[in-house]
Amino acid sequence: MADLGRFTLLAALVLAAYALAAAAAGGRTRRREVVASALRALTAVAALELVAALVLLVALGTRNYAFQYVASHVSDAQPLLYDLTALWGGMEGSLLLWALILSGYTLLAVRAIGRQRPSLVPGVAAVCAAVTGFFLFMLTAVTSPFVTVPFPPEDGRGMNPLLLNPWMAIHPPTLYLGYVGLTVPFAIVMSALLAGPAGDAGILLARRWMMWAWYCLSMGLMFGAKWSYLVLGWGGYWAWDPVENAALMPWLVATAFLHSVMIQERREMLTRWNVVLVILAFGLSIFGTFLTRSGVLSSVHSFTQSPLGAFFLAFLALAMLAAFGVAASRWDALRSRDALDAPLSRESAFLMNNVLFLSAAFSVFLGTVFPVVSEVLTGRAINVGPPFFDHVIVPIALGILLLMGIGPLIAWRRASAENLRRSFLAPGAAGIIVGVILLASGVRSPGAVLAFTLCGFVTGTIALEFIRGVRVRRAHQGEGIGRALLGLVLRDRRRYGGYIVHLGLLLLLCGITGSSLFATQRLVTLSPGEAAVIGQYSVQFEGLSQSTRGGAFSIGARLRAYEGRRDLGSFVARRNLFLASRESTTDVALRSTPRDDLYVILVGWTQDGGATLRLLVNPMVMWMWAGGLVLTLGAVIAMVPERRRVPATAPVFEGAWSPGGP
Amino acid sequence: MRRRPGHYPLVFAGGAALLVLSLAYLVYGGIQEGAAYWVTVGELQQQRMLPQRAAEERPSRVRLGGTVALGSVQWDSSHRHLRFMITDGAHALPVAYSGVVPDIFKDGRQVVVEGTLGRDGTFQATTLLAKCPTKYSPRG
Repeated sequence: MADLGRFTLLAALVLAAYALAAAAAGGRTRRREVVASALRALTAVAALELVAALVLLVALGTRNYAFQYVASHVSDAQPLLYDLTALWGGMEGSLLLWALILSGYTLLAVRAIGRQRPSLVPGVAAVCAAVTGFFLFMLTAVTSPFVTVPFPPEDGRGMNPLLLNPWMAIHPPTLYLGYVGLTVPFAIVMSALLAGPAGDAGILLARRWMMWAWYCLSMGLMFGAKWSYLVLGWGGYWAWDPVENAALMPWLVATAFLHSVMIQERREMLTRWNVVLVILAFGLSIFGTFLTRSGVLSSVHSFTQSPLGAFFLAFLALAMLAAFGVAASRWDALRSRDALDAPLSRESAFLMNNVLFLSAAFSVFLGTVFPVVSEVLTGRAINVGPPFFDHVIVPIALGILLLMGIGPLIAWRRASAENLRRSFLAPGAAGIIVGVILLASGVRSPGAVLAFTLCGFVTGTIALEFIRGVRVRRAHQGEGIGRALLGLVLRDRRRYGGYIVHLGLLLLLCGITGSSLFATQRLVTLSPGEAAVIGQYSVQFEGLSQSTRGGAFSIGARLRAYEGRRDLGSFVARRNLFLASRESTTDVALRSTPRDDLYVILVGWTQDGGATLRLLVNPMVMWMWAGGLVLTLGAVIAMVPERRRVPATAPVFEGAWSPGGP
Repeated sequence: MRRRPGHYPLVFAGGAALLVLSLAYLVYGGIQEGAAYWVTVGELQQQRMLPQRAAEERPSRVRLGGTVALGSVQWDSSHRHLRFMITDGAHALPVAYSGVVPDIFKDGRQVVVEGTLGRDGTFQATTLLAKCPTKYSPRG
């Protein structure tokens, strides 16, 4: 069976190489049958990868320990569902998943682009085939998932119990959907640049794909945060860990792109800038995989031990060189046809937004690679931890928040004093009212007052946009409020979907502000029957209990929480000791309300039945998860294609994007 | 009023310069705040052998990587405070820590501690990170 897997991957690699050659040659000579043959080869690549993935899944599902991959990620005691999710629990499997997702995207992209702008199909096929080829090369020559051993072990080692969690089961594939999704816009833009004098450089076609990738990255980050919060048991959800940063960087760049693309649509400006953003986002997706898989950050020395990192770095360097080379060769054709008119205009607000997002991405990048850079430059590795990121990112985030309120209201081209006064009076007042209320109720943290004031301002902005739209519809079409609101959102989905995404992000930012500035914690040791007070809660420790479940011996502290006199019910904080692997995991006792989370970790226990507990009250964490849901709603609205094309408010360029035809 | 493409008013140039400067300022401040040298156990012990210099300099934050010596993990009775020996194979140093201990921490594991070396030669750690050498595939 392993042979079948190895063979399919090898065949897929050969076919991907053929597809690359055929697509490139067919595109150059404009021979459609050659391009069609390349597309058939790409379909076969996808089918072969699917077979390889199924082989691995079957091996995982049947616990075939002759496979090294299976033996190190599956064990007899592990639930079957997690045996299957082990497909992305390790490096080889996740590279296979990456290649498979990319092939799926390639087929979809080729079909969609064939309808919209067939001249780009060969280029897209070639770029996707090249990237797929790289991953297939890694899977066949460097880290094959189908390595077998002659004498299989009796039982596998299984995954780390920390990873056996539903959030961790869906976090990697979601993130991959996002990472890999960044390849498609890259392929479209490269194809447009290669195909000839560029026009819009395919940017507008790439927008929808970028939106999808952005959404998947957002959700991937969210699921990772949720896992961290529930499973790692340290009370937080984000630690500025390199693997977290690896996903945040492309997210920041993709966010910048989704904003600046609007300027390109409306004003035919910033085309070059958008090309650079698309290339950067793709590069960061490869860089992120490199970071998480090469071990370069734990030490420069472990990096040289595995050939994997060197291959990734070489591929990244090659891809970036080629991409920027292509962009440079078309640089003049990408010139903006228009210029900024005034510093006070929506264009410059968007430009500023882009600069801030890129500054944030750059800072995260710098902080992440700082140990490596400093070791190379000075010979001594210097690490910059969370204080660095907090210090740099918080002001940038506040700036972005401010622009989030300004952007939608300020006039295009040139804002007049009248425009500014009319638009900003109400939202500004909303923000100030929030600030005053906070100050009056005794909040003294300047960061919190500033952040919540800005959130109030942005909420005012978004509300004003909705109110204005509804008012216009009611005046013109005499609709009821609900109907007008629905019609408004459905008619201009990208705009209002975008505002809903902004609302989701506001909830997220409120949650982050509240939980990072106002969290309190205590460490207490209690005897049975004793209680400890934290915030407005009191937690009574009722006693320890023991149980065995799923190969683990678990100790639980039975707790009962009270708020004043009110009994909030009982809950258990557990610690599970996995006997076979000597690993342990934490089950947090958690009680969530929109106001705050009561979060209790069992740290340890004493001989006489007492327990040491870490008690935390994390305000507003639930707002973050709610923000994720609102963001999903907005993203779905913005992504669903409009059935009837709204008459383009955007000017149409020559040779650009004519829906339904070439 | 329309300018030729590519010609931006002075305001933008000034704005750009201001932005770059403030970013540089932020990054500089961040590094001041969060930087910690990576050191090995051996290097830190050598530093301790030079008492005059150590007394002059205020204890600087460092990041120390190593392995938890087998059998050296000690908890106090209430399981609040942790002491263990960190070793790089040749040298060993006692570490004291009382914070959130990662689930994957145990003896024989690679750990990274951040903190300062106390006068008594015990490393007072404020953060403790544990690495799982074989099975923990980084997320993402």
